[in-house]
Amino acid sequence: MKRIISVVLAVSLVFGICGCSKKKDKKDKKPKETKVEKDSTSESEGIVEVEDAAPSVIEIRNVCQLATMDCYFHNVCKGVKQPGTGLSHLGEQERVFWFEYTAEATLGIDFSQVEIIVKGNHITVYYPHAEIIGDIRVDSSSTSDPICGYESEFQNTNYITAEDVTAALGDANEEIRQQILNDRSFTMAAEMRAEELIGNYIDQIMAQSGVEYTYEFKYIEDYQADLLK
Amino acid sequence: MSDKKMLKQIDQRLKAMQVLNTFNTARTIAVCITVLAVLGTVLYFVLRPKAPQKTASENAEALKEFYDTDVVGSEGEVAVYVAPELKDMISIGELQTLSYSYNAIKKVRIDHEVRYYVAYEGTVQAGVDFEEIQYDVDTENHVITVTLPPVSITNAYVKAESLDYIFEDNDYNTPDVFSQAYELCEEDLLEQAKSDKNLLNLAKMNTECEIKALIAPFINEYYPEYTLVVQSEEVTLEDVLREEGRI
Repeated sequence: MKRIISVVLAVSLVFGICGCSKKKDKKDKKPKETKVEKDSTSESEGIVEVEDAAPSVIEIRNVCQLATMDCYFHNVCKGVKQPGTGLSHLGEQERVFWFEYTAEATLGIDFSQVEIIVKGNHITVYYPHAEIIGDIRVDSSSTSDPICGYESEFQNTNYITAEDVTAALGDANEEIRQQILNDRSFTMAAEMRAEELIGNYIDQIMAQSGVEYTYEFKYIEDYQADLLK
Repeated sequence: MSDKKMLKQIDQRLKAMQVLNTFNTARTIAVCITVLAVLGTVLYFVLRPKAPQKTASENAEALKEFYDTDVVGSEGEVAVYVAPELKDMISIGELQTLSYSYNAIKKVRIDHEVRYYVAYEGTVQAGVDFEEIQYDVDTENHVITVTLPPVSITNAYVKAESLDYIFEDNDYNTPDVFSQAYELCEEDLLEQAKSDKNLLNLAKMNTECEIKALIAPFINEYYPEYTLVVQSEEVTLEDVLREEGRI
């Protein structure tokens, strides 16, 4: 009887060890860089329950923006992923990851708000303050694969995922946006360039008029005040 | 001898009594601490403000929260430390007259195996080079001709933080997926943008309207008898192929 019990226990232990050793090493599952095939879901069959399976244009906007400055930033992003909560995240520790990339921001003015007032020989151009046009863009050729330090921290099961890198990049881009908004020198450079472009345009138009003219630039906030004068 | 023995015995007894005294003192201290702890606990439960009675639904919510937070749990949050460094500032002059947002989903196969799906949001902007706009004033015929350069796609970019993934196997969810997915989405967006001719026509119409509105004050003041003509430079297939170096 004792022998039977000990044999049953030993067999159970062996099965348990075999079952637990199935988990694959994440490092072996990196997608290979060769033979990447693209396939739009709109062309494939069988995927019918995916939302927006076909490419769709969701918004068309008529805009009128004069882009005057492209700014390029080199960003080194250092992320720290905290351990998760709950039973499934027991034993996790903080994980550090780094990556770098080049970001691009375009500055310009909303051209639809430009007002040109012509009074005799004097031309006044009212224009809005420069702002960031669109989103902060990432140069795809400049992104580096994140460095995660797996080899030195193999016992830490807090792995970095694609979503973590995406979220970190979003935060990093927001940081760039705030840096531009907080530094007046960026918008001033864009505004000076806008004045240069509009000035050239006025010179071309007035070249054949035979009139001696002068022009000045003011911000759009001064437009209402000047109207009342 | 007997005196020495007696003294030795007395000495040993004294030492034993000292040890006993020390033990008694330690025991007394321990008992006091225990009594104080019990008293403190009793006073705490007696004097603490009573929590309001919770309803069954509140208890259920608290239990659910405990289950979601401490049992099921969630992924850890990511904190980011960045120090962006300005590399370059380039002056440009693009008049953008059309912007459209674009959503799509891509299925990514590697070695004939579907690895993941990625959804993204992209933006395409179209317009003209403002510096290339030509103004010609014909004083004989009283015509002002504005020639616009060909409308082109000035920007087509994927919003990096909009990328969302569904993986066929969680083991494929690795950090370097982002750069690969981003590049694929960008290529897809560019292809879609180039193939949509209506957008370029719309941008062309918008540009013409904007230029007419911009030049109107000058015509009213300095060229009242003149006629304004806005035309666009058409790009033929030959021009495109020549630019790409194919002919």
